[in-house]
Amino acid sequence: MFFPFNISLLDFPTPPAWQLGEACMEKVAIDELKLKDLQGRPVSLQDYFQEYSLVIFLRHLA
Amino acid sequence: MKSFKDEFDRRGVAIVVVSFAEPERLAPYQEYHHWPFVMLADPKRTVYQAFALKRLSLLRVFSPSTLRLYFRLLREGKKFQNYGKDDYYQAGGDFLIDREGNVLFAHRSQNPADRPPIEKLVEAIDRTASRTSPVNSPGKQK
Repeated sequence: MFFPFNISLLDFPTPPAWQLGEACMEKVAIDELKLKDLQGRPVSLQDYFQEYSLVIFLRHLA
Repeated sequence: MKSFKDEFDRRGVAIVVVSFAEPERLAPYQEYHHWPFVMLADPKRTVYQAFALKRLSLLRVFSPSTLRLYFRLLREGKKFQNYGKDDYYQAGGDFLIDREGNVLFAHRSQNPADRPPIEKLVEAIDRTASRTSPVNSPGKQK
């Protein structure tokens, strides 16, 4: 098991604004987000859109 | 999730799955699961950081809801696949974004069992499609 030293037992993360019920408009610079495909080639998230994109971030592989 | 792919396709939503695993570890994972989605790797976690996905604490990772989830999966006969060294503390999340990068729906997992139901995602997409301007995240809808 990967066990780095920066694991905290307790955390009190700042909730995202929408969880606090505040008005918010998050925006990400998708053209700057660099990823790799399964062959290890650099790709951009921009290449994977229809009208919208649902981006699912995995935790660990299981 | 696979069975809902058509629902997403019909709504013009591409599904992209991002993992912090190296591409060489991600390829066998995709080969085993045959997910009908694009899988991309973010080994440096810069994209995770861009979406403000933090690392979880020990108590969040091994919370009662996580244990319940894993017991349920074991009962259903799911087997543990070993894909090598992994980080169990990285939080995941689900984000619906448009071409301009506006985040129309955001769900940041607070523990490993915390994922939005598919129905909620579809609802968010439909809500978004019915508006001309980008919507805020679900917390605003209350």
